[in-house]
Amino acid sequence: MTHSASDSERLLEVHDLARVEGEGALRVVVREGQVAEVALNIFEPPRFFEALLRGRRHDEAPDITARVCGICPVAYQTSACAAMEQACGVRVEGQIAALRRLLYCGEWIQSHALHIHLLHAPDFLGCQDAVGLAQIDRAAVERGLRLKRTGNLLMETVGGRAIHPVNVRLGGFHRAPTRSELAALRPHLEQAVEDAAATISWVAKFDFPNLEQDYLFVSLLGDGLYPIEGGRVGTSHGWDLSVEEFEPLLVEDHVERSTALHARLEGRDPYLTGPLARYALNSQRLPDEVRRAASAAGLGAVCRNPFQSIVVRAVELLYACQEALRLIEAYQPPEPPAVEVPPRAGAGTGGSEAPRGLLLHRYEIDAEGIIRAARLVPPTSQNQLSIEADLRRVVEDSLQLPDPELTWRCEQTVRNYDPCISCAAHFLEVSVEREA
Amino acid sequence: MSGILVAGVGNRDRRDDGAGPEVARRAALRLMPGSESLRFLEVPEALDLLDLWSDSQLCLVVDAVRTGAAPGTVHSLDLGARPPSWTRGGSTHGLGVAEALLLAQQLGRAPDRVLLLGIEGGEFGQGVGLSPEVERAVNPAADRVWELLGELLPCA
Repeated sequence: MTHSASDSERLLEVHDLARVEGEGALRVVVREGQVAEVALNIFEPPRFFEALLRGRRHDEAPDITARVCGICPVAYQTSACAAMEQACGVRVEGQIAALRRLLYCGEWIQSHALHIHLLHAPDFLGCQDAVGLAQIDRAAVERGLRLKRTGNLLMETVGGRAIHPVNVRLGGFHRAPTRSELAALRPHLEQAVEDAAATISWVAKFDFPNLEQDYLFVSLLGDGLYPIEGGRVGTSHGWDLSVEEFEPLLVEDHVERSTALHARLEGRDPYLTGPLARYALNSQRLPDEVRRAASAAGLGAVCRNPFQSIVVRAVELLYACQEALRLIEAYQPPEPPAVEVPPRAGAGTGGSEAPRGLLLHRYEIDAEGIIRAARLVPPTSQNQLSIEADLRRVVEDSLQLPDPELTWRCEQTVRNYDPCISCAAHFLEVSVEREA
Repeated sequence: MSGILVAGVGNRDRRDDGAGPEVARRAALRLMPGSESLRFLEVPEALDLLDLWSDSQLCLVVDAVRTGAAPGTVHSLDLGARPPSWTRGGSTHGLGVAEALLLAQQLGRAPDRVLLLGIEGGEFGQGVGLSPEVERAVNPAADRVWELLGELLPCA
């Protein structure tokens, strides 16, 4: 909905912004040709879960936190397991760890395929939504759905089901899939590799607004591999820390206008997590074939244009498909499928790379394994300040655009982040005010 | 393509959003053995309907809705070629039943006919369990599922 409030004040409102996950509101005020205010207000369900977790058993954390989000349940399960296992002094390695990475590849494939093809690409091609995209490029939509289906299939095979996998437990899995069960996925993944390569070529041809941001990148660092299910924390200003060293440096502030918390490093510096950060700090860990595809798509070793995050996601999509094939090839069913994680009093921190960025969990448990404190820091909370900074630049650079186009560009800027605000989308209101 | 699909769409972890799966589950309890042409499924994401529709001739979608009516109100309508605007959104990333149907139509994989049985929800926050008003509507809605199936398939 768009209307002018008066000659001296222009007000644009778009209700029910589609193609984002969760609830929130965006307000932009332009006064005398200058951006006076940019505020992204969102609701943050994990606060509720942190209270819910207190008093529960340590082995319930993966299943409870998986329900924070229907889009990235594996991320929540993996970070919860890592934190609890560290608290209990247990290290999970070998084929169990590989199986976790394989399950996580499924989540990356389905999440990235959905966002690229059905949620983000319409912005670049002048389409209202995926239905409009299907009218002009049916093959692209079919390819996206095929990729998403393969991700779902992988999650079902390893995790028991595609939404909120039920096969994950502390120390590993309730049941390990057989080699033949995983081998049955190979043709789907081979097709997915082909599809993902086509997706990179497709998105590389989009027109990207010219915007370079001087982000402070934060991402896990892979131990020889591109980071997915764990690793140390790196930053573009040179930090290389364990997740437990990093976690207390991540300070969240409550902002009065929002129920969400805003994260800053050492309470001072806004930063970016997600595909651009992962890629900037780990592109050298990608296999040669994937790096060549990234290079052919116009990416250097670092990408600072948030609109090109769709290209980076496509590169990560190809990587996840290839990595899943590699893991399946090397798979030997672990016996037993999980190591025991007996409780002991202590604290543990775990981090993993959700499709949209770093997800940290920290727990304190007592000797009986009862959770005494919990902290969940989701990527969208960490990225809020960067989203607002991007919006400010986008509006400043695009003031000449008529209100509908400017509002559209603002929505697209939010979608660059694939924000995952909660597990059931209702609406994100966008309002842009201009005052003379 | 053959058969009738009854799809209970929704997330049981978001209170009344679980109305669709619960109504479909209870309606399925009355399914007689040997009804191969009739399937009842719980569908967490509306987008998953696209794959399920590829071998369904008719589909009855049971889903929580928000129209402003009293919680527990049961609506039924034929979605037809242009689903009404209130059937849009309300699911993962705003991709609801209407969007799935429009996309399926565009891709040539929509069933011949899609009916929607909507249960007006009141609470969509985090947590398991329907609100009392919606819980009271579940059995009448399951009855309505079978009434509609009777109209679609006289022998059902």
